[in-house]
Amino acid sequence: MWDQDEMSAGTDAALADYGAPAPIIELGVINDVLYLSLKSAAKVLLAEYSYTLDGVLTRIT
Amino acid sequence: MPIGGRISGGGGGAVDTSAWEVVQTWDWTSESAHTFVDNTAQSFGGVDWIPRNVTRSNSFQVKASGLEIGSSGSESSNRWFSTIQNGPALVADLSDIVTGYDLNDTLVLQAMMSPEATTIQSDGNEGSQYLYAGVLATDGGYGNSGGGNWIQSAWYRRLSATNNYYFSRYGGGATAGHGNNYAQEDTSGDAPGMIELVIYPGTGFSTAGSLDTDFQDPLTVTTGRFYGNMQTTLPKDIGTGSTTAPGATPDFTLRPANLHVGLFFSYLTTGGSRASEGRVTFTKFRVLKRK
Repeated sequence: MWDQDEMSAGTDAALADYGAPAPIIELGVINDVLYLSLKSAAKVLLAEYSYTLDGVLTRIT
Repeated sequence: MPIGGRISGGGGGAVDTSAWEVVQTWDWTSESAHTFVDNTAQSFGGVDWIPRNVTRSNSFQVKASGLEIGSSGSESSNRWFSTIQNGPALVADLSDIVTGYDLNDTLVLQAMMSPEATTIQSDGNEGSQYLYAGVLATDGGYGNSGGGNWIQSAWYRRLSATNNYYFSRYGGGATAGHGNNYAQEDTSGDAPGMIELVIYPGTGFSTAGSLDTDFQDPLTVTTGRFYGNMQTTLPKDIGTGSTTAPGATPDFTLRPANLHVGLFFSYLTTGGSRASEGRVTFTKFRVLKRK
């Protein structure tokens, strides 16, 4: 089940992979996959990731 | 920044340029001192305010500094997540504040606040401690198994880090996964001083926050600005994959018939020991309506 800890883990993993600050993070769960959009303060999309409950992080864009 | 203003018209008449009417403002620093009793209404400004989930707070009172709501390791974990709505909240019926509003109206909730972590444990479990504070739009449900129909514009902080975030979330409905989604923006500094929640009853909402120390005109704050809708029946992936037709009637759950507003604080522990403490002090709260 997705809960705050799992979503925080996904956030941490995505930020670590991206390797730079992303002020805005939008998180959504679809069909048991967490999708994370990292954006700049100007709301420009920096990167998108998917993350699963077993900790698999995939960069989409 | 003041609301609106007046400019002179060519014919000599004054034109009101303000798009917003301030319906009511509460200055919590000027209200009578009061310690809330769970589920027992207290009138402020002629409106009944009802405290929910008081047993999960260690402070729930109006005092000289404002409306203070706090929670510590001595109380059970509490939160607003999906249908779990057991974070301490002070709630009022929006119809008691804005008489006769309907689906054509746009309403804005704004709060001036000072949220803070007053104790941060150092036993390695800080990463499982989360604080939230802000404003709510809700159908009035509360407790361990509420209706899941709520929206929040809030401050959020995980106690293993010093970052403060603007935080936007809705409660979601009965479909699995609803209520998980949220958006956050690093304030790049302190906790937000102003929080805003714009309600388009029955359809959608917008949240925002800022480091401002006084109210700003509605929809002018750009930080923490996120948008969402209020329907909770349809799957959120409608229109993708094999789900290309609704297959269900949209259920817009927050309407004039049930909309409530709230001011809340919650301290969530997801694992390990619970030994931190936090609180929020609301100094002002106001409700505006688009003219």
